[in-house]
Amino acid sequence: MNWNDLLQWTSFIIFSALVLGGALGMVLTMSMYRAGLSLMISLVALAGLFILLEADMLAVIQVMMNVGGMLVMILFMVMLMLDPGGEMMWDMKRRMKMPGFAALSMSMPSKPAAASSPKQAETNLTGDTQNMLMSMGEQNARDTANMNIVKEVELNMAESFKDGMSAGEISGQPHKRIREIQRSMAVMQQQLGLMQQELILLEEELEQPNRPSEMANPGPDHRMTTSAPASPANSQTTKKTIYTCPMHPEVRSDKPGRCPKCGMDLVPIEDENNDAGGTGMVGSGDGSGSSNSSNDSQMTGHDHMSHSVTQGGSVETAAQMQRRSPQAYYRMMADMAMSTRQLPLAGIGSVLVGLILVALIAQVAWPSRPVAPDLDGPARVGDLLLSGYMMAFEGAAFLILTGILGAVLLARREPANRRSRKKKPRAKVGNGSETATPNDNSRGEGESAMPNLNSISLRSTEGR
Amino acid sequence: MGGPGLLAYLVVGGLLFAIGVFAVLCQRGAVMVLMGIEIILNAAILNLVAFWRFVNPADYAGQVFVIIAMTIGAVEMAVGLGIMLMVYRVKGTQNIDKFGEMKE
Repeated sequence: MNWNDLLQWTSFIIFSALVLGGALGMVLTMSMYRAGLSLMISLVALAGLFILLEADMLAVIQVMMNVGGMLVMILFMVMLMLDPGGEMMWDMKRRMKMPGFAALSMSMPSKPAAASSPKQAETNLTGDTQNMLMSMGEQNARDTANMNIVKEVELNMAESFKDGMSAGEISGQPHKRIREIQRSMAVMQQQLGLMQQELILLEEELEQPNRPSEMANPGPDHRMTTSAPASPANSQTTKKTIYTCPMHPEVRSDKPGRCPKCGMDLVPIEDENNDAGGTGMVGSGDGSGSSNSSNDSQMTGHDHMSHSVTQGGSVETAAQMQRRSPQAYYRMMADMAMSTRQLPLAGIGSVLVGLILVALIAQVAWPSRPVAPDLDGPARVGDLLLSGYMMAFEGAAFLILTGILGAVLLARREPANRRSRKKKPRAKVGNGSETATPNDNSRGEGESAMPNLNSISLRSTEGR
Repeated sequence: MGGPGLLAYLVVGGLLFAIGVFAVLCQRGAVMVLMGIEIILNAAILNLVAFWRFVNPADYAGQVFVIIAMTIGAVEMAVGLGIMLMVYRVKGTQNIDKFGEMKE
Protein backbone atom coordinates (compact mmCIF):
# COMPACT_ATOMS: atom_id res chain seq x y z
CA MET A 1 0.00 0.00 0.00
CA ASN A 2 1.67 3.18 -1.12
CA TRP A 3 1.17 6.72 0.04
CA ASN A 4 -1.43 7.55 -2.53
CA ASP A 5 -3.70 4.76 -1.39
CA LEU A 6 -3.17 5.65 2.23
CA LEU A 7 -4.12 9.24 1.50
CA GLN A 8 -7.19 8.09 -0.38
CA TRP A 9 -8.29 5.83 2.44
CA THR A 10 -7.73 8.54 5.04
CA SER A 11 -9.72 11.11 3.15
CA PHE A 12 -12.40 8.56 2.39
CA ILE A 13 -12.77 7.74 6.07
CA ILE A 14 -12.82 11.38 7.06
CA PHE A 15 -15.35 12.35 4.43
CA SER A 16 -17.63 9.40 5.00
CA ALA A 17 -17.51 10.00 8.75
CA LEU A 18 -18.53 13.60 8.06
CA VAL A 19 -21.29 12.50 5.72
CA LEU A 20 -22.75 9.96 8.12
CA GLY A 21 -22.13 12.06 11.21
CA GLY A 22 -23.73 15.10 9.65
CA ALA A 23 -26.78 13.08 8.66
CA LEU A 24 -27.01 11.52 12.11
CA GLY A 25 -26.61 14.90 13.72
CA MET A 26 -29.39 16.23 11.55
CA VAL A 27 -31.70 13.49 12.73
CA LEU A 28 -30.76 13.45 16.38
CA THR A 29 -30.57 17.12 17.23
CA MET A 30 -33.58 18.91 18.58
CA SER A 31 -32.76 22.25 17.10
CA MET A 32 -33.92 22.68 13.55
CA TYR A 33 -31.28 25.25 12.88
CA ARG A 34 -28.57 22.83 13.90
CA ALA A 35 -30.25 20.17 11.82
CA GLY A 36 -29.92 22.37 8.77
CA LEU A 37 -26.29 23.10 9.48
CA SER A 38 -25.54 19.40 10.02
CA LEU A 39 -27.22 18.55 6.76
CA MET A 40 -25.06 21.16 5.06
CA ILE A 41 -21.94 19.58 6.55
CA SER A 42 -23.10 16.20 5.30
CA LEU A 43 -23.71 17.46 1.79
CA VAL A 44 -20.41 19.29 1.53
CA ALA A 45 -18.59 16.16 2.73
CA LEU A 46 -20.48 14.25 0.09
CA ALA A 47 -18.96 16.63 -2.44
CA GLY A 48 -15.60 15.57 -1.00
CA LEU A 49 -16.51 11.96 -1.72
CA PHE A 50 -17.37 12.97 -5.26
CA ILE A 51 -13.91 14.46 -5.65
CA LEU A 52 -12.45 11.21 -4.35
CA LEU A 53 -14.46 9.45 -7.02
CA GLU A 54 -12.90 11.83 -9.57
CA ALA A 55 -16.18 13.49 -10.44
CA ASP A 56 -15.05 17.06 -9.86
CA MET A 57 -17.82 18.78 -11.71
CA LEU A 58 -20.43 16.90 -9.75
CA ALA A 59 -18.73 18.04 -6.56
CA VAL A 60 -18.89 21.66 -7.65
CA ILE A 61 -22.54 21.32 -8.63
CA GLN A 62 -23.29 19.58 -5.36
CA VAL A 63 -21.77 22.36 -3.29
CA MET A 64 -23.45 25.09 -5.27
CA MET A 65 -26.92 23.60 -5.37
CA ASN A 66 -27.03 22.18 -1.93
CA VAL A 67 -25.52 25.07 -0.09
CA GLY A 68 -28.04 27.34 -1.76
CA GLY A 69 -30.86 24.94 -1.03
CA MET A 70 -29.82 24.51 2.55
CA LEU A 71 -29.66 28.23 3.11
CA VAL A 72 -33.21 28.53 1.80
CA MET A 73 -34.28 25.69 4.05
CA ILE A 74 -32.74 27.21 7.14
CA LEU A 75 -34.46 30.47 6.34
CA PHE A 76 -37.73 28.61 6.04
CA MET A 77 -37.18 26.87 9.32
CA VAL A 78 -36.43 30.06 11.15
CA MET A 79 -39.43 31.68 9.54
CA LEU A 80 -41.88 28.94 10.38
CA MET A 81 -40.64 27.40 13.56
CA LEU A 82 -38.50 29.90 15.44
CA ASP A 83 -36.62 26.83 16.67
CA PRO A 84 -38.08 26.01 20.10
CA GLY A 85 -36.06 22.81 20.35
CA GLY A 86 -32.88 24.76 19.80
CA GLU A 87 -33.64 27.12 22.63
CA MET A 88 -34.35 24.20 24.89
CA MET A 89 -31.11 22.50 23.87
CA TRP A 90 -29.18 25.65 24.50
CA ASP A 91 -30.82 25.97 27.86
CA MET A 92 -30.06 22.40 28.88
CA LYS A 93 -26.48 22.61 27.71
CA ARG A 94 -25.91 25.83 29.55
CA ARG A 95 -27.28 24.29 32.70
CA MET A 96 -25.17 21.18 32.44
CA LYS A 97 -21.94 22.84 31.50
CA MET A 98 -21.84 25.79 33.88
CA PRO A 99 -24.41 25.61 36.62
CA GLY A 100 -23.25 28.76 38.34
CA PHE A 101 -23.29 30.79 35.21
CA ALA A 102 -26.64 29.45 34.18
CA ALA A 103 -28.82 32.09 35.72
CA LEU A 104 -26.14 34.75 35.71
CA SER A 105 -25.84 34.86 31.99
CA MET A 106 -29.54 35.48 31.68
CA SER A 107 -29.85 38.28 34.16
CA MET A 108 -26.69 39.82 35.41
CA PRO A 109 -26.68 40.70 39.06
CA SER A 110 -23.15 41.15 40.33
CA LYS A 111 -22.80 37.96 42.25
CA PRO A 112 -20.14 35.26 42.36
CA ALA A 113 -20.70 32.65 39.73
CA ALA A 114 -20.07 29.57 41.80
CA ALA A 115 -21.29 30.35 45.25
CA SER A 116 -19.43 28.46 47.94
CA SER A 117 -22.13 28.21 50.56
CA PRO A 118 -25.48 26.77 49.62
CA LYS A 119 -27.36 29.59 51.25
CA GLN A 120 -25.67 32.12 49.08
CA ALA A 121 -26.40 30.01 46.09
CA GLU A 122 -30.03 29.92 46.96
CA THR A 123 -30.33 33.64 47.43
CA ASN A 124 -28.61 34.08 44.13
CA LEU A 125 -31.10 31.82 42.51
CA THR A 126 -34.14 33.51 43.97
CA GLY A 127 -32.84 36.91 43.01
CA ASP A 128 -32.23 35.64 39.55
CA THR A 129 -35.70 34.27 39.41
CA GLN A 130 -37.17 37.63 40.26
CA ASN A 131 -34.96 39.35 37.77
CA MET A 132 -36.01 36.88 35.17
CA LEU A 133 -39.61 37.51 36.03
CA MET A 134 -39.18 41.22 35.57
CA SER A 135 -37.48 40.75 32.27
CA MET A 136 -40.18 38.32 31.31
CA GLY A 137 -42.86 40.87 32.02
CA GLU A 138 -41.18 43.14 29.56
CA GLN A 139 -41.06 40.67 26.73
CA ASN A 140 -43.89 38.34 27.47
CA ALA A 141 -44.92 38.18 23.87
CA ARG A 142 -42.34 35.56 23.24
CA ASP A 143 -43.72 32.38 24.61
CA THR A 144 -40.62 30.35 23.95
CA ALA A 145 -38.62 32.58 26.19
CA ASN A 146 -41.32 32.20 28.78
CA MET A 147 -41.15 28.47 28.46
CA ASN A 148 -37.46 28.54 29.03
CA ILE A 149 -37.89 30.76 32.02
CA VAL A 150 -40.42 28.41 33.49
CA LYS A 151 -38.06 25.51 33.07
CA GLU A 152 -35.25 27.55 34.50
CA VAL A 153 -37.23 28.40 37.58
CA GLU A 154 -38.28 24.82 37.91
CA LEU A 155 -34.69 23.67 37.92
CA ASN A 156 -33.63 26.46 40.22
CA MET A 157 -36.25 25.32 42.65
CA ALA A 158 -34.90 21.83 42.60
CA GLU A 159 -31.37 23.06 43.06
CA SER A 160 -32.27 25.28 45.94
CA PHE A 161 -34.21 22.46 47.49
CA LYS A 162 -31.24 20.16 47.21
CA ASP A 163 -28.91 22.82 48.53
CA GLY A 164 -31.27 23.39 51.38
CA MET A 165 -31.27 19.73 52.30
CA SER A 166 -27.52 19.50 52.36
CA ALA A 167 -27.21 22.75 54.29
CA GLY A 168 -29.66 21.55 56.89
CA GLU A 169 -27.63 18.45 57.47
CA ILE A 170 -24.37 20.30 57.61
CA SER A 171 -25.10 23.41 59.61
CA GLY A 172 -27.29 21.69 62.19
CA GLN A 173 -30.05 24.29 61.98
CA PRO A 174 -32.64 22.41 60.06
CA HIS A 175 -35.70 24.33 61.22
CA LYS A 176 -34.47 27.72 60.18
CA ARG A 177 -33.22 26.32 56.95
CA ILE A 178 -36.50 24.60 56.21
CA ARG A 179 -38.41 27.78 56.89
CA GLU A 180 -36.22 29.69 54.48
CA ILE A 181 -36.66 27.06 51.85
CA GLN A 182 -40.40 27.04 52.35
CA ARG A 183 -40.57 30.78 52.01
CA SER A 184 -38.58 30.84 48.82
CA MET A 185 -40.55 27.94 47.50
CA ALA A 186 -43.78 29.76 48.16
CA VAL A 187 -42.50 32.78 46.28
CA MET A 188 -41.36 30.64 43.42
CA GLN A 189 -44.58 28.74 43.24
CA GLN A 190 -46.63 31.89 43.11
CA GLN A 191 -44.47 33.17 40.33
CA LEU A 192 -44.72 29.84 38.61
CA GLY A 193 -48.49 29.93 38.81
CA LEU A 194 -48.60 33.32 37.17
CA MET A 195 -46.16 32.27 34.52
CA GLN A 196 -48.06 29.07 33.84
CA GLN A 197 -51.24 30.96 33.35
CA GLU A 198 -49.58 33.35 30.97
CA LEU A 199 -47.85 30.53 29.18
CA ILE A 200 -51.04 28.61 28.69
CA LEU A 201 -52.83 31.68 27.41
CA LEU A 202 -50.05 32.33 24.95
CA GLU A 203 -50.03 28.74 23.84
CA GLU A 204 -53.73 28.80 23.25
CA GLU A 205 -53.27 31.90 21.18
CA LEU A 206 -50.64 30.09 19.20
CA GLU A 207 -52.50 26.85 18.82
CA GLN A 208 -55.93 28.19 18.03
CA PRO A 209 -55.54 31.50 16.24
CA ASN A 210 -58.92 31.00 14.60
CA ARG A 211 -60.86 30.35 17.75
CA PRO A 212 -60.89 33.41 19.93
CA SER A 213 -63.81 32.02 21.88
CA GLU A 214 -61.43 29.61 23.55
CA MET A 215 -59.80 32.51 25.26
CA ALA A 216 -62.93 33.03 27.29
CA ASN A 217 -62.70 29.48 28.55
CA PRO A 218 -62.78 29.49 32.32
CA GLY A 219 -60.01 26.93 32.38
CA PRO A 220 -56.92 29.17 32.62
CA ASP A 221 -58.45 31.66 35.04
CA HIS A 222 -59.59 28.86 37.18
CA ARG A 223 -56.16 27.32 37.09
CA MET A 224 -54.67 30.58 38.16
CA THR A 225 -56.84 30.68 41.20
CA THR A 226 -55.91 27.17 42.16
CA SER A 227 -52.22 27.15 41.47
CA ALA A 228 -51.25 30.71 42.30
CA PRO A 229 -51.73 30.52 46.09
CA ALA A 230 -49.78 27.29 46.15
CA SER A 231 -47.61 27.25 49.20
CA PRO A 232 -45.76 24.60 51.08
CA ALA A 233 -48.12 25.15 53.99
CA ASN A 234 -50.52 22.66 52.46
CA SER A 235 -47.86 20.13 51.91
CA GLN A 236 -49.68 17.64 54.04
CA THR A 237 -52.23 15.28 52.66
CA THR A 238 -55.24 17.10 51.20
CA LYS A 239 -58.48 15.65 49.99
CA LYS A 240 -60.37 17.17 47.13
CA THR A 241 -63.50 16.18 45.35
CA ILE A 242 -62.76 15.91 41.68
CA TYR A 243 -65.30 15.29 38.98
CA THR A 244 -64.34 13.03 36.17
CA CYS A 245 -65.98 11.44 33.20
CA PRO A 246 -66.80 7.75 33.57
CA MET A 247 -65.72 7.13 30.00
CA HIS A 248 -62.73 9.47 29.83
CA PRO A 249 -60.75 9.34 33.06
CA GLU A 250 -58.32 11.97 31.81
CA VAL A 251 -61.05 14.58 31.87
CA ARG A 252 -60.99 16.21 35.26
CA SER A 253 -62.71 19.17 36.75
CA ASP A 254 -63.39 20.30 40.25
CA LYS A 255 -66.94 21.33 39.60
CA PRO A 256 -69.74 19.21 38.15
CA GLY A 257 -70.54 19.53 34.50
CA ARG A 258 -70.42 17.67 31.27
CA CYS A 259 -67.56 15.87 29.64
CA PRO A 260 -66.15 17.89 26.75
CA LYS A 261 -65.55 14.72 24.80
CA CYS A 262 -68.74 12.76 25.07
CA GLY A 263 -71.16 15.04 26.89
CA MET A 264 -71.76 12.66 29.77
CA ASP A 265 -72.30 13.98 33.27
CA LEU A 266 -69.17 14.09 35.34
CA VAL A 267 -69.14 11.93 38.43
CA PRO A 268 -67.36 12.88 41.65
CA ILE A 269 -64.37 10.95 42.85
CA GLU A 270 -62.24 11.33 45.92
CA ASP A 271 -58.72 12.19 44.96
CA GLU A 272 -55.90 12.00 47.42
CA ASN A 273 -52.88 14.09 46.71
CA ASN A 274 -50.05 14.05 49.13
CA ASP A 275 -46.66 15.66 49.53
CA ALA A 276 -47.11 19.12 48.17
CA GLY A 277 -48.78 17.92 45.02
CA GLY A 278 -52.26 19.00 46.09
CA THR A 279 -52.84 22.10 44.11
CA GLY A 280 -50.33 21.22 41.51
CA MET A 281 -52.05 18.02 40.63
CA VAL A 282 -55.40 19.73 40.43
CA GLY A 283 -53.88 22.30 38.17
CA SER A 284 -52.44 19.65 35.93
CA GLY A 285 -55.74 17.87 35.78
CA ASP A 286 -57.38 21.06 34.69
CA GLY A 287 -54.71 21.54 32.12
CA SER A 288 -55.40 18.23 30.50
CA GLY A 289 -59.11 18.80 30.73
CA SER A 290 -59.02 22.15 29.01
CA SER A 291 -56.67 20.92 26.37
CA ASN A 292 -58.94 17.99 25.74
CA SER A 293 -61.90 20.25 25.37
CA SER A 294 -60.14 22.56 22.99
CA ASN A 295 -58.39 19.90 20.99
CA ASP A 296 -60.17 16.64 21.19
CA SER A 297 -58.41 14.59 18.57
CA GLN A 298 -54.93 14.52 19.94
CA MET A 299 -52.84 16.47 22.36
CA THR A 300 -50.18 18.53 20.73
CA GLY A 301 -46.67 19.16 21.82
CA HIS A 302 -47.48 22.44 23.44
CA ASP A 303 -50.19 20.82 25.42
CA HIS A 304 -47.75 18.30 26.68
CA MET A 305 -45.37 21.01 27.57
CA SER A 306 -47.97 22.85 29.55
CA HIS A 307 -48.96 19.60 31.17
CA SER A 308 -45.49 18.83 32.37
CA VAL A 309 -44.79 22.39 33.34
CA THR A 310 -47.96 22.49 35.31
CA GLN A 311 -46.88 19.40 37.08
CA GLY A 312 -43.66 21.23 37.71
CA GLY A 313 -45.82 23.67 39.63
CA SER A 314 -45.43 21.30 42.50
CA VAL A 315 -41.88 20.54 43.42
CA GLU A 316 -41.48 18.10 40.56
CA THR A 317 -38.62 18.76 38.22
CA ALA A 318 -37.70 17.17 34.95
CA ALA A 319 -35.50 14.57 36.59
CA GLN A 320 -38.17 13.67 39.09
CA MET A 321 -40.70 13.48 36.35
CA GLN A 322 -38.41 11.13 34.51
CA ARG A 323 -38.22 8.94 37.56
CA ARG A 324 -41.90 9.03 38.37
CA SER A 325 -43.39 8.54 34.94
CA PRO A 326 -40.82 7.82 32.27
CA GLN A 327 -43.55 7.61 29.69
CA ALA A 328 -44.72 11.17 30.18
CA TYR A 329 -41.14 12.34 30.23
CA TYR A 330 -40.45 10.51 27.00
CA ARG A 331 -43.53 12.02 25.42
CA MET A 332 -42.41 15.48 26.45
CA MET A 333 -38.93 15.00 25.11
CA ALA A 334 -40.22 13.54 21.86
CA ASP A 335 -42.54 16.49 21.48
CA MET A 336 -39.78 18.95 22.07
CA ALA A 337 -37.58 17.14 19.58
CA MET A 338 -40.37 17.42 17.00
CA SER A 339 -40.33 13.69 16.51
CA THR A 340 -43.23 11.31 16.51
CA ARG A 341 -44.06 9.00 19.37
CA GLN A 342 -43.07 6.05 17.22
CA LEU A 343 -39.45 7.02 17.53
CA PRO A 344 -38.22 3.57 18.68
CA LEU A 345 -40.15 1.87 15.91
CA ALA A 346 -38.63 4.20 13.36
CA GLY A 347 -35.19 3.56 14.81
CA ILE A 348 -35.62 -0.20 14.64
CA GLY A 349 -36.96 -0.01 11.13
CA SER A 350 -34.17 2.14 9.82
CA VAL A 351 -31.48 0.07 11.53
CA LEU A 352 -33.03 -2.97 9.86
CA VAL A 353 -33.00 -1.19 6.53
CA GLY A 354 -29.35 -0.29 6.96
CA LEU A 355 -28.36 -3.79 8.01
CA ILE A 356 -30.21 -5.40 5.14
CA LEU A 357 -28.68 -2.98 2.65
CA VAL A 358 -25.15 -3.49 3.93
CA ALA A 359 -25.59 -7.26 4.00
CA LEU A 360 -26.90 -7.28 0.45
CA ILE A 361 -24.08 -5.02 -0.71
CA ALA A 362 -21.46 -7.18 0.96
CA GLN A 363 -22.78 -10.31 -0.70
CA VAL A 364 -22.23 -9.17 -4.25
CA ALA A 365 -18.80 -9.56 -5.82
CA TRP A 366 -18.32 -6.07 -7.16
CA PRO A 367 -15.96 -5.40 -10.04
CA SER A 368 -12.50 -4.32 -9.02
CA ARG A 369 -11.02 -0.94 -9.69
CA PRO A 370 -10.81 -0.24 -13.41
CA VAL A 371 -8.70 2.33 -15.20
CA ALA A 372 -8.96 5.90 -14.01
CA PRO A 373 -11.08 8.28 -16.05
CA ASP A 374 -9.21 10.93 -18.00
CA LEU A 375 -8.62 14.31 -16.53
CA ASP A 376 -10.88 16.41 -18.74
CA GLY A 377 -13.96 14.77 -17.38
CA PRO A 378 -15.88 18.00 -16.81
CA ALA A 379 -15.43 18.96 -20.46
CA ARG A 380 -16.73 15.57 -21.50
CA VAL A 381 -19.68 15.93 -19.21
CA GLY A 382 -20.40 19.37 -20.58
CA ASP A 383 -20.20 18.06 -24.15
CA LEU A 384 -22.54 15.23 -23.35
CA LEU A 385 -24.90 17.54 -21.54
CA LEU A 386 -25.05 19.96 -24.43
CA SER A 387 -25.24 17.43 -27.21
CA GLY A 388 -26.81 14.13 -26.34
CA TYR A 389 -28.62 14.90 -23.13
CA MET A 390 -29.84 18.38 -23.90
CA MET A 391 -33.44 17.25 -24.00
CA ALA A 392 -33.25 15.59 -20.61
CA PHE A 393 -31.61 18.62 -19.08
CA GLU A 394 -34.13 20.94 -20.63
CA GLY A 395 -36.85 18.71 -19.33
CA ALA A 396 -35.42 18.91 -15.84
CA ALA A 397 -35.18 22.69 -16.10
CA PHE A 398 -38.78 22.79 -17.31
CA LEU A 399 -39.77 20.68 -14.33
CA ILE A 400 -38.00 23.09 -12.00
CA LEU A 401 -39.74 26.07 -13.54
CA THR A 402 -43.10 24.34 -13.45
CA GLY A 403 -42.60 23.39 -9.85
CA ILE A 404 -41.60 26.88 -8.80
CA LEU A 405 -44.46 28.38 -10.79
CA GLY A 406 -46.91 26.00 -9.22
CA ALA A 407 -45.57 26.74 -5.77
CA VAL A 408 -45.87 30.46 -6.36
CA LEU A 409 -49.39 30.10 -7.71
CA LEU A 410 -50.38 27.96 -4.76
CA ALA A 411 -48.86 30.43 -2.36
CA ARG A 412 -50.67 33.32 -3.99
CA ARG A 413 -54.03 31.68 -3.43
CA GLU A 414 -55.70 32.85 -0.31
CA PRO A 415 -56.49 30.15 2.19
CA ALA A 416 -60.15 29.26 2.36
CA ASN A 417 -60.61 29.90 6.03
CA ARG A 418 -59.16 33.37 5.74
CA ARG A 419 -61.11 34.22 2.64
CA SER A 420 -64.39 33.95 4.48
CA ARG A 421 -63.22 36.18 7.29
CA LYS A 422 -61.89 38.85 5.03
CA LYS A 423 -63.39 42.26 5.69
CA LYS A 424 -62.81 44.03 2.42
CA PRO A 425 -65.22 42.77 -0.25
CA ARG A 426 -62.57 42.97 -2.93
CA ALA A 427 -63.34 39.53 -4.33
CA LYS A 428 -64.66 39.19 -7.82
CA VAL A 429 -67.76 37.41 -6.60
CA GLY A 430 -68.91 40.56 -4.89
CA ASN A 431 -68.54 42.59 -8.05
CA GLY A 432 -70.41 40.00 -10.04
CA SER A 433 -73.39 40.13 -7.72
CA GLU A 434 -73.34 43.89 -7.81
CA THR A 435 -73.51 43.87 -11.57
CA ALA A 436 -76.19 41.21 -11.53
CA THR A 437 -78.70 43.07 -9.40
CA PRO A 438 -78.73 46.35 -11.35
CA ASN A 439 -78.94 44.36 -14.52
CA ASP A 440 -82.20 42.83 -13.40
CA ASN A 441 -83.52 46.17 -12.23
CA SER A 442 -82.50 47.99 -15.37
CA ARG A 443 -84.84 45.95 -17.54
CA GLY A 444 -87.78 47.36 -15.74
CA GLU A 445 -86.59 50.88 -15.12
CA GLY A 446 -85.21 51.69 -18.53
CA GLU A 447 -82.17 53.78 -19.28
CA SER A 448 -81.82 55.52 -15.97
CA ALA A 449 -80.00 52.58 -14.50
CA MET A 450 -77.68 52.07 -17.43
CA PRO A 451 -74.85 54.51 -16.50
CA ASN A 452 -74.76 52.97 -13.08
CA LEU A 453 -74.32 49.55 -14.61
CA ASN A 454 -71.59 50.78 -16.92
CA SER A 455 -69.65 52.39 -14.14
CA ILE A 456 -69.89 49.24 -12.06
CA SER A 457 -68.69 46.99 -14.83
CA LEU A 458 -65.84 49.39 -15.55
CA ARG A 459 -64.85 49.28 -11.93
CA SER A 460 -64.94 45.53 -11.93
CA THR A 461 -62.64 45.35 -14.93
CA GLU A 462 -60.31 47.83 -13.25
CA GLY A 463 -60.33 45.64 -10.21
CA ARG A 464 -58.96 42.87 -12.32
CA MET B 1 -4.44 -3.04 -3.54
CA GLY B 2 -5.52 0.52 -4.13
CA GLY B 3 -7.77 3.02 -2.51
CA PRO B 4 -11.33 2.49 -1.31
CA GLY B 5 -13.26 0.32 -3.68
CA LEU B 6 -16.85 0.21 -4.78
CA LEU B 7 -17.89 -1.77 -1.72
CA ALA B 8 -16.82 0.99 0.69
CA TYR B 9 -18.77 3.67 -1.18
CA LEU B 10 -21.81 1.45 -1.43
CA VAL B 11 -21.74 0.77 2.29
CA VAL B 12 -21.56 4.50 3.00
CA GLY B 13 -24.45 5.04 0.62
CA GLY B 14 -26.51 2.34 2.29
CA LEU B 15 -25.91 3.75 5.75
CA LEU B 16 -26.81 7.22 4.53
CA PHE B 17 -30.00 5.82 3.06
CA ALA B 18 -30.88 4.22 6.38
CA ILE B 19 -30.31 7.50 8.21
CA GLY B 20 -32.54 9.27 5.71
CA VAL B 21 -35.26 6.68 6.21
CA PHE B 22 -34.98 7.23 9.93
CA ALA B 23 -35.32 10.98 9.49
CA VAL B 24 -38.38 10.62 7.30
CA LEU B 25 -39.99 8.15 9.68
CA CYS B 26 -39.35 9.81 12.98
CA GLN B 27 -39.47 13.52 12.31
CA ARG B 28 -42.69 15.41 12.64
CA GLY B 29 -41.80 18.78 11.22
CA ALA B 30 -42.42 19.10 7.51
CA VAL B 31 -39.07 20.74 6.89
CA MET B 32 -37.27 17.96 8.69
CA VAL B 33 -39.03 15.34 6.57
CA LEU B 34 -37.95 17.23 3.46
CA MET B 35 -34.40 17.16 4.75
CA GLY B 36 -34.66 13.40 5.28
CA ILE B 37 -35.82 13.00 1.70
CA GLU B 38 -32.83 15.05 0.65
CA ILE B 39 -30.53 12.66 2.51
CA ILE B 40 -32.11 9.66 0.79
CA LEU B 41 -31.64 11.35 -2.57
CA ASN B 42 -28.01 12.03 -1.78
CA ALA B 43 -27.42 8.42 -0.85
CA ALA B 44 -28.80 7.40 -4.23
CA ILE B 45 -26.60 9.98 -5.94
CA LEU B 46 -23.53 8.71 -4.12
CA ASN B 47 -24.34 5.21 -5.33
CA LEU B 48 -24.73 6.50 -8.88
CA VAL B 49 -21.39 8.25 -8.82
CA ALA B 50 -19.67 5.21 -7.32
CA PHE B 51 -21.14 2.93 -9.95
CA TRP B 52 -20.10 5.30 -12.68
CA ARG B 53 -16.58 5.44 -11.34
CA PHE B 54 -16.04 1.74 -10.81
CA VAL B 55 -18.16 0.11 -13.47
CA ASN B 56 -17.88 2.25 -16.57
CA PRO B 57 -15.79 5.38 -16.08
CA ALA B 58 -15.34 5.95 -19.78
CA ASP B 59 -19.00 6.72 -20.30
CA TYR B 60 -19.84 10.11 -18.89
CA ALA B 61 -23.55 9.54 -19.18
CA GLY B 62 -23.41 8.41 -15.57
CA GLN B 63 -22.39 11.88 -14.46
CA VAL B 64 -25.08 13.44 -16.60
CA PHE B 65 -27.58 11.15 -14.94
CA VAL B 66 -26.36 12.36 -11.57
CA ILE B 67 -26.77 15.97 -12.64
CA ILE B 68 -30.32 15.30 -13.73
CA ALA B 69 -31.03 13.54 -10.44
CA MET B 70 -29.73 16.61 -8.61
CA THR B 71 -32.07 18.86 -10.56
CA ILE B 72 -34.93 16.55 -9.73
CA GLY B 73 -33.92 16.95 -6.10
CA ALA B 74 -34.02 20.71 -6.49
CA VAL B 75 -37.50 20.43 -8.03
CA GLU B 76 -38.60 18.31 -5.12
CA MET B 77 -37.24 20.84 -2.69
CA ALA B 78 -38.94 23.78 -4.39
CA VAL B 79 -42.29 22.07 -4.74
CA GLY B 80 -42.10 20.61 -1.24
CA LEU B 81 -41.30 23.94 0.33
CA GLY B 82 -44.05 25.63 -1.68
CA ILE B 83 -46.66 23.07 -0.68
CA MET B 84 -45.44 23.19 2.89
CA LEU B 85 -45.69 26.95 3.02
CA MET B 86 -49.19 26.85 1.62
CA VAL B 87 -50.31 24.18 4.07
CA TYR B 88 -48.72 26.19 6.82
CA ARG B 89 -50.71 29.21 5.79
CA VAL B 90 -53.91 27.21 5.74
CA LYS B 91 -53.41 25.13 8.84
CA GLY B 92 -51.22 27.37 10.89
CA THR B 93 -48.94 24.55 11.91
CA GLN B 94 -45.92 22.76 10.60
CA ASN B 95 -46.77 19.47 12.25
CA ILE B 96 -47.23 16.69 9.72
CA ASP B 97 -49.67 14.84 11.94
CA LYS B 98 -52.04 17.75 11.49
CA PHE B 99 -51.80 17.55 7.72
CA GLY B 100 -53.79 14.32 7.73
CA GLU B 101 -56.91 15.60 6.09
CA MET B 102 -56.15 17.41 2.89
CA LYS B 103 -59.71 18.54 2.37
CA GLU B 104 -60.54 21.97 3.57
